[in-house]
Amino acid sequence: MTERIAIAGVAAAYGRDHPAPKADEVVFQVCSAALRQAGLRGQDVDQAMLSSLDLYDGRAISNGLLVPAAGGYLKDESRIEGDSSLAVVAAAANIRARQAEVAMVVAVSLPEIDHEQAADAAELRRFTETISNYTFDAHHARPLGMSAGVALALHSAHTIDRGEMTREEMARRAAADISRGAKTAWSDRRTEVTPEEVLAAPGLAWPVTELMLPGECPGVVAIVLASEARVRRAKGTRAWIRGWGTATGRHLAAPGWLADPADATRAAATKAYARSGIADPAELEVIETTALTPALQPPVERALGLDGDGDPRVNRTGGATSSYPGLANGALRVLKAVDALENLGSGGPALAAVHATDNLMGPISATSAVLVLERA
Amino acid sequence: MTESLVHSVNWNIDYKVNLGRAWSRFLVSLRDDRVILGTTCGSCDKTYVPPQAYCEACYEPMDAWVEVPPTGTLEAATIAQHAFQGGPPAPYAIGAIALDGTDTLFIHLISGIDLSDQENARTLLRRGTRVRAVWSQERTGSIRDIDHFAPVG
Amino acid sequence: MRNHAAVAGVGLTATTSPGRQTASKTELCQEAVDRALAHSGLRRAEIDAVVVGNIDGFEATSTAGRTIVPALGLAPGTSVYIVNTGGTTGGGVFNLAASLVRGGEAERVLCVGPSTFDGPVDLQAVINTALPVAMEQPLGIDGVHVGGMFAAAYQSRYGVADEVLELCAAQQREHAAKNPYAHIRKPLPPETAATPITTPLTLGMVCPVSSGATAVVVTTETIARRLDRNPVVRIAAYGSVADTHLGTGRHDFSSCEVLALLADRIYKDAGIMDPRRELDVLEIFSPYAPMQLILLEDLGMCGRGEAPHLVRDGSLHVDGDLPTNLSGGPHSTNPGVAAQLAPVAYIALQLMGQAAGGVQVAEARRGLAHSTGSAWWQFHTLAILEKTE
Ligand SMILES: [Zn+2]
Repeated sequence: MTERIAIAGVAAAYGRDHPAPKADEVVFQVCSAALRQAGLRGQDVDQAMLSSLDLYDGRAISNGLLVPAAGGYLKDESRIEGDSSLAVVAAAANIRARQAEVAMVVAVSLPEIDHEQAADAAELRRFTETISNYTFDAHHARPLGMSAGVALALHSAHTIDRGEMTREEMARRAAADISRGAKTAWSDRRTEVTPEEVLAAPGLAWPVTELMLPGECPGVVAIVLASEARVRRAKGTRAWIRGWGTATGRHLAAPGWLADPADATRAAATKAYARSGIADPAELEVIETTALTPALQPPVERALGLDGDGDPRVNRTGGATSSYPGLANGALRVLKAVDALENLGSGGPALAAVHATDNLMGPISATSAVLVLERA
Repeated sequence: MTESLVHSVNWNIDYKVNLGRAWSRFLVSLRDDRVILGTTCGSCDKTYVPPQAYCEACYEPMDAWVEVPPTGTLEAATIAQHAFQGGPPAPYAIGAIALDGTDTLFIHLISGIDLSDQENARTLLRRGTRVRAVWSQERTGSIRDIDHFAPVG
Repeated sequence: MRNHAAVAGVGLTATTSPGRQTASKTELCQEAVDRALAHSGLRRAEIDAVVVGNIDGFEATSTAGRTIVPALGLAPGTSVYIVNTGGTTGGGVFNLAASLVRGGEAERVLCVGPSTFDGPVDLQAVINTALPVAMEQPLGIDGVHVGGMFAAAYQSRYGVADEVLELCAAQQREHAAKNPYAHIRKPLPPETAATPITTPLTLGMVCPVSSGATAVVVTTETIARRLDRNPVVRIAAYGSVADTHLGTGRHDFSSCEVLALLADRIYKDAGIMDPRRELDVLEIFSPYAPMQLILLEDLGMCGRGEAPHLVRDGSLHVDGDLPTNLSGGPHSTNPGVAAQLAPVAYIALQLMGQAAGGVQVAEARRGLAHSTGSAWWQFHTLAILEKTE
C-alpha cells in the first residue's frame, strides 16, 4: 500500500443558492469554507487544482479567473477538463510527488447562462446537450447530432433489445433513486416521484426520459487535500484517501461501448482495490457510484465487484440521478462518502469506494476514477 | 495525392455572464454617478480597481469601498494598428494606468490625441503621462461608460 | 519507493502554416507520438497514462484531446488526463506527467501537445475571449496588445531602442533557420518586417500561426536506464505559478515578478545557486520576440534592464555562454500546445546530445524549459532537466 492522502476539508455550494454569483466569488466562498474545516488559511495552499470546462464558463481559459479565487495566487496551479475525481487524483499525485503539502481541489460547474434558465432542469439540459455536441468530433459525429443524451439513449435501447432490463425497470430504478435522495442535503431533485412519473416525463431520446438522466444542476465543490505530516499540524482530517485507479473507456467507433460500457470502471476499480489492499468489496461500507442512466447501474456495480442488484450500500442518497453538478460530480460523490463515513460513528476502520465519471459524451471516451476512502 | 478538404466550423452559444457583487456595484457607479469605486483590503491595505470581493494576496474578503479620482499616471501604452474581427477600429491605444490612490494598474483605452501619427503618439503616451477619464454620453453599466482616458496638461 | 521522473523520448513534426497544412490535427499527433515512442524505445502498449492538452475556443472541437487520444492506438483502458491552462497547457501537461511518475501513479506517461491554432479564421479575435470578461474584453485587447504593452513598458523604463527589439527577433529567426522543425526559417523582407502591429511591435517581432505537433514520453529513471536508448535525462525540478487574472494587480509591465518567484522555487528544488553559470541551455517562451528580455531578467540571468547586453554581445547563440532558444522558439514556430511542450523536447534533445541542425551545445548537462500564457501572461511553467550518469 502507498501513502495515504488526507481529505482535510470538503465544502460545496450550488449555484441557485447564490443569487447572481460571479464564479470566482462563489469559488472563494466555498474554498474558504473548506479551509476553515481544515484549520488552514489561503496562504497554506501550495497548489490550486481545478476541474472546470471553458464552454460552461463562457470564456476561454476560464481557470484564469478561478485560480486566484482558489488560493492559487503566486502558487502552483493546473486545471483538468474532466470530472473532478481526476483533479483529486492529479492533486494527490502532486502531494505524493512532493510538489505540494496542501492542495486545493475545486470543481466548478456554474454554466454562465441566464440564472432562471440554469435553475430549470430542461433548459439546463438543452445547454449541456449543446456543449456535449461540440465535444463530439466536428466533422463526423457532431453533424449527426450526437450528444451525451443520445449516447445514453442508444445504450439504454441496446439494453432493452438485449433483454437485460425493461423500460419499466429503468423507471422503477430512477424513481427509487430520486425518491431516496429527495429529502437529503445537496439533492437537486427534491420531490419524490413514482415510476409512472418517470415514464411520463419529457423524453430526450427513446427510451430515456428526462428523469432517467443525471439530475443536472450548477455546483461548486472544494476539497482540501494534504499530506499526512501536514494535516497532523492542522485540525486533523475528515477522511483519508487510501488509493485510487483511473481508466478511460472506448470511443464512439470502437465496438464494445454499447455491450460493455463499464470496462473502464472495471479497470479503475481493479487498480484502486489492489492499491488500497482491498481483497473483497464486501469490506466496503459506503459506495458512491456514477451511473448516468438506470441501464448503466448493473454494469457499473458489477464492474465495482458488486452483484448489481439493489445493494443497500450503494448511493444511499440517490447518486447521480438525484444530483449531478457536471464536472463537480466526482467531488460531490467524495463529499457524500465522507459524510457517510462520519455518520457511521467511530470505532474501527471503515472504508468507502467512490466511482465517478463525466457526462460530456455519455459513456463514450469517458475517464472513470475509483477512489478508496478510509474513515479518519 | 488526394484532395485536401477544409470544413467551416462555427460555434453558436449564448451566454449570460454573472458579474457578481463587486463588479456590479462598480459598473452601476460608473453608469449612475460617474464615480470610480475600488475596494481596499483590511489586511494588506491595497486598493483594487476594478474592485474585487476578496483580496487574492491575503485570501480575505474585501468590503471596504473607496471612491477613486478619475485621474492617474500612464505606466505603459501600446498603439494598435490592426483591428480583429469584432474589435474596435484601428488605430486605438490601450493603456495601463496607475489611478491615483490605488495599488493596481487600470487597463483602459487612451484617446484624445492623433493616433494616426504613430511616432508622435508614442511620445505623447510615454510613461509618466498624466491622464483623466472622459465619460461616455450614453452610459449602460459597462466598462466603456468611461469612453477613454485622455492625456492632460 | 518513489523514483525520479525522466524524459525517455521526444517527437516533433515538421511545421508549416495552417493554410499549407494537409494533415489533420489527429494525424499530426499520431506522427509526433510515433516519433516519440520510437525515440524512447517503448512500445505503444506499454504506455499506462496519457496527458493531452487542448485550449477550448481555439479549436473546432471542445476538449479536443478526447477525439485525438483514441486514434493513438494505445492499450484499452489507458488513463487519459486532459489539461487546459491556456498558454501554459504544454508545460502543464509535462508537469502532470512528471508528478504521475514521481508520485507512483504511472510508470510510462505519454505527453501529447497537439496543434491548437489551425482552426480560427481570426486568432486574435479568439484570444480576446480569454481576456477578463466585462472589464478588458470590451476594450479590444488581444494577444499582440499584451505583448506590446509589456514591450512598451520595458522599453520606456530602461530606455531601450527599437533596434534592440528587432535584434531579439533577428537572433531567434537566425536560430530557426537551422532547425528542421521550425516554421519561419527565412527572415521576412525588411519592409514587411517593419509593418506596424501595435507599438513597439512590428510584424517581424510577432510569431506566426503554425501547424505541427509535439510528443514527449516520461518514465521512471529506472525504466529510462533500462531502455538504454538515450542518455538519461532526469526531470530535476518543475512547477507552475499563477498571477492575478486582470491586467491590474501587476504594478508594472516591465517584468513578470511571478516568474521570478517560480524560478526561485525551481532553482532551490534543483539545487541551483547561480542559474547563469549552472544552466547550459534555455528554451523560453517568447512568441513576441522582445519578451525574451523580460523573461531572461525574471529568470535571474542578469540584472533588471541588463538583458539588452545579452542580446547584443551574442551570449544567446550556440557558442555564447547562455545559449537561448536555439530552436528559434515560439517566435518562429507557434502551433499552440505543441509549441508550449516543444521547449521540453528541445532541451531533452540538447542534453541527449542529439540537437538537430548543428546547434548542439557542447557538454550540455542541465537545461531549462519555460512556457507562459493566458491573459497578461498570468501563468508560467518551468522545468529543469539534467543529464545523469
Ligand atoms: Zn490583502
